[in-house]
Amino acid sequence: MSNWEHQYREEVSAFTSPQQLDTQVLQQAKRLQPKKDIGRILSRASLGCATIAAILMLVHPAQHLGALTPRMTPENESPQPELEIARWQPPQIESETQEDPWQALRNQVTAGNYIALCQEWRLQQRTTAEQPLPRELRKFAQKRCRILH
Amino acid sequence: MSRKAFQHLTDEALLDHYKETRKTVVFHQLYTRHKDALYRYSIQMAPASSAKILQELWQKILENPPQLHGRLFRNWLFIQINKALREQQALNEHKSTAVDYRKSAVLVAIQKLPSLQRNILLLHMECKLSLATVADIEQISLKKCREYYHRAKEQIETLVYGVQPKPWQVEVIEE
Repeated sequence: MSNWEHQYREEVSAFTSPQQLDTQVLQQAKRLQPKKDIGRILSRASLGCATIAAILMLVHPAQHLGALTPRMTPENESPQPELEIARWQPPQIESETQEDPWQALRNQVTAGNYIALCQEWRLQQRTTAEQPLPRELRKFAQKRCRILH
Repeated sequence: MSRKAFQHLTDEALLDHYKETRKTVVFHQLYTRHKDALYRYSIQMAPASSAKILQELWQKILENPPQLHGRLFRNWLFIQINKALREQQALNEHKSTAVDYRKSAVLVAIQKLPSLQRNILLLHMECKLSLATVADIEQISLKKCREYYHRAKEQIETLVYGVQPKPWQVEVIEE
């Protein structure tokens, strides 16, 4: 590089782009910058909030539903439930099959002995019995027994 | 993202990034890299209208970032400014210069060069374009471009330091 070229570099270094031009160009660049999409930002924010809420609901559902059970500690834990559990017995199962009051009479009729049936029938004819004869026994009695007046 | 983050990117990568994002910070980086060289070139070629031409050029880039098609952004930039300066020179050929070069003999010497030689000299020396690119811009052969460039340098030397006698030019005194 020759002497004048060195001299040129030194002198021309003072020539820089004017501040006014820089400002105008950069202001224009800012004007042309696309505006931020607020709708998209809001959508993302709402999606984020919904996600956090869903996570909280999943992790601590009891806090939100009010179904938090009291914490059991050795101090406040009473021995009563254990005793109750130890004393507990299964309830008596009532026999579903009830005894038939007419079974003896049925057996006699089946054996061909109608005396007891006829006595009972005659008795019921005279009085109003609490337990009337069952239908089939009554039919037997109407066929086999005579009414004694 | 700060301007430092884009420092490692080439001009072309920055331009692509600006096309996609239109971020001011990306454009600022690109602008900072070339603004002074562009100003120095244009002020020496068309002092009266350099600011206006530069503003229009940057506006064009901002509104419609160029498709480089494999070219360097720097080359594209100086080809565009060269075109704009030619158009402006054709309109305002007789306008006086707005810059005072009186303090610098070199700058005055450059201004005294013919427009073509001054353009070739500045594009190669100031704008760092290759002589082949300069030849393309001026639409002349590379040989001719090189010749104009060297002639311009010689003329400046002459203008700055004056005519110096050279050994082979000394006339032989015949006895």
